[in-house]
Amino acid sequence: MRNLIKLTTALSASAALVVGIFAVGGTLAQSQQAPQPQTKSADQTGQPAQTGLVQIGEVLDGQALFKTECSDCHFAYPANFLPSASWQAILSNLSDHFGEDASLDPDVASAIEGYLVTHSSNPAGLDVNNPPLRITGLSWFRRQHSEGEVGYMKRTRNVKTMSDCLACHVG
Amino acid sequence: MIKKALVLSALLAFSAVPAQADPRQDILDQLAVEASAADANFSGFSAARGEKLFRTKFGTGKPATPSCTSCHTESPRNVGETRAGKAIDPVAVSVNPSRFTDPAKVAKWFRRNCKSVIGRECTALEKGDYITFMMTQ
Repeated sequence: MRNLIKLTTALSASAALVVGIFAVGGTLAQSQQAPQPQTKSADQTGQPAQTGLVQIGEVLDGQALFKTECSDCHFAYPANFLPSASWQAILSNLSDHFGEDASLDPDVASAIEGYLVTHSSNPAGLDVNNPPLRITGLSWFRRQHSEGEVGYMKRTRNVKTMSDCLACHVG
Repeated sequence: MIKKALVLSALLAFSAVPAQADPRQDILDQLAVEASAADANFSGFSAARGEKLFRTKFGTGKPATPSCTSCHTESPRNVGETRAGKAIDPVAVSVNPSRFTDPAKVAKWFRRNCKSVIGRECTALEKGDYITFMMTQ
């Protein structure tokens, strides 16, 4: 059930076919670098404390922190799914993160933001003062997932939200 | 006879081993210190109060998460689910012995989830009660 669509394949197809303003800017190689959680488990206890400890020398490792911190509650959406202005807006308001408190230590949030901004996709014509916040609202996403498909998946696969990529895709 | 002596000496050896580190108890001890500082009449944590905290529908935090059970389900022994669809390991210590053993994680998730559910940070008394309840589950 969960290997219905290979996510990286779908992404590469969308990158090749879709020329929407928010089309995935990354290559297949970049997509494959996206975090690929092996399970759905949001393990809140099983791992040693990572917060503030994932470091390269004196610098916090933003990519490693992104993978551990952002996948606690949801699929760690690849950085190139959103423009830099979107990541900056999201990381600056983690205390109200789509209706939940997802606050992080400021140093950790800053390191994660640095990683995401560096690897973001920035299409021309983006309104940086009003950046998109929801991946499920992006034009390429909506083209890939029609209203009919959304309804079908929610009915037949117990998918609560289309933001749960791993309900249907494999990483 | 020799066998008996061996068993006996083995038992004695084990009993002589110093108490194992108990990070969960360390966390509870620290919370007890904070609870005492906040209330001179503090007399220990309560699993019953912890259960009430777990089940109360507060309605004072974020609308999507009125209570702990919103994500952790009615039984702490169940696997929960985040609003984004990810599984949450059970909170009950009996089925998830690593719960409440990492001070950084405990601090992080109480901070986040108390704000999401209640709309404020939890007190040391509430945290200690909650952990104490989960230790009975």
